[in-house]
Amino acid sequence: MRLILVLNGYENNYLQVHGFSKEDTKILKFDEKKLAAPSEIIKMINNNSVSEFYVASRELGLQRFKTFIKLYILLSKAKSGGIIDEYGNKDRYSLSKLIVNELPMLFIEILVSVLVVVYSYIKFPLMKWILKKKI
Amino acid sequence: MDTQKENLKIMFWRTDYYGAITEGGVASLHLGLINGFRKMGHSCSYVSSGRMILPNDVNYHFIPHNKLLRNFPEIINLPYNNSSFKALAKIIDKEKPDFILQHNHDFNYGGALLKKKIGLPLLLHCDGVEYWIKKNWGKLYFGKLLKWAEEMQWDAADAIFVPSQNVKKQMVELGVDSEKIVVNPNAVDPDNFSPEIDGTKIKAKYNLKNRFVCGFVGTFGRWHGVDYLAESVKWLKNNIPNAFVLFVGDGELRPKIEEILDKYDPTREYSLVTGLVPYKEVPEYMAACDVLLTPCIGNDEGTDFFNSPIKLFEYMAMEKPVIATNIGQQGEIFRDRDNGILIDERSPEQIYESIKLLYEDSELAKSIAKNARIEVLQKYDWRVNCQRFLDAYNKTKNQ
Repeated sequence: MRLILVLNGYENNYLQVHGFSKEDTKILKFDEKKLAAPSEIIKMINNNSVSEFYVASRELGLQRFKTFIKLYILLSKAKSGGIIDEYGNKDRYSLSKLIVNELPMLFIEILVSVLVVVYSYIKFPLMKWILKKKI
Repeated sequence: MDTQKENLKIMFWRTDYYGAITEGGVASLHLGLINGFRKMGHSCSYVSSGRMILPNDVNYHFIPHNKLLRNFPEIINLPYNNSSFKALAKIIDKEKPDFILQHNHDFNYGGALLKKKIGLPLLLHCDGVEYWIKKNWGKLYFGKLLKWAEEMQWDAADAIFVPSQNVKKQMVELGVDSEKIVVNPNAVDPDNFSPEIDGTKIKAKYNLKNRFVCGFVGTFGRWHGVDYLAESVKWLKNNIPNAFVLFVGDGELRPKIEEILDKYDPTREYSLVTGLVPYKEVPEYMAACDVLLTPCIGNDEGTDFFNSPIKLFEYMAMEKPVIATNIGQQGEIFRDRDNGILIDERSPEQIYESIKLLYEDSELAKSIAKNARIEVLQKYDWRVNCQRFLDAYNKTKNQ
């Protein structure tokens, strides 16, 4: 069975554009914020005996949390899937791509994020002081 | 309505990461204001980090967020302060707007930066106090950064626009100068939402001819109270045989709504959830209804309801009788049995009783619907809303 979590856009568009049949597809409307709950999603995939898992969003290029979505596929019983959009684009899950490319990028993102946060804790109060002084 | 003699150039600035979502409350607000300003003879441009469906004469500028930081929602906003400011400064240099209308978003102090470096008047729209919203309704990370950013924006803005008195109250308690805050409730375009719109096509589509249709239109968010409307089906189906409850929209509460309906109306003879419908078709869906409902509920932690639901004004503009819960701005706008029916929140029984009242008393239904439309034309047209921005701009210019 195929499970599609629709974050935004129209359910039927995704079926049509990607050539999925209604019979073997379960579609659920899903709040993007809940993508941050791995156990809930993995449980959902495993409990529904899902072999293909997709997250559907209007435009692939503007979708966040792609690496996490692929990690959910890796950690669940789903064998394939990815992120799809209304224009027919698909960012397919691939174990090799995840290990070689996406996970190292996520690691870099974590490092950069730490630096950004530290820098912001210095910069924000400084900016606050400067702005208050001059406005 | 417009007292402005010159034609102004207004630049909208949206800084949140909203991906490809082109519909919803923020989009309706921005489009309503843009069309309001255009109707008043002013021109607009729009700067944001996502897609937006805009009228052809509105210049659109895309300033993307950092491509690397896509997995941690709070972090992505931090470097956007500088990168978006730099990009926007170039756009401003080219477009030369008269003022910036920024929709405030968490961790953003770009407006304050702009005000300091370029000196353009900054009119700031705030839906609420972001720090409070995150702390009470979401997850609060980097609370100090969020608080500092909001304070910088509030300090720098020439005027702050909030949707309700309750948000103003909250801000004043946090030390914002009350003179600076303008309460600007949401509004509607009364040409797009009007009693002239025909709902026959929708009635035919869902086989609703000869049914007394009670509708809810919007996102099924936690404060919309749609689940209480679903509960009312229990009484409606037994006491008003041709009643039908039409839920137009989608959202996080949809599974709960479907579960309640499965219990009381498993064959969906008396109710239906349509799912998401294109925004341009929404007036037709409203036109297909005999009664429209906004059963919003207060905040769980007991604080005042501070939202200004756009649907409220859309309902009123359609000249349909509206049933609303007596909370926050709904309680300020509606006068019971005059321009609406007011009920207690979280009461499916009162929802049912008020629907029955309007079903049995068609004269009352007609009169409250007419009064609501009159009130919208006088007070809640987007142009009235735009005028408040222009007044604030003029005040800034004359200082």
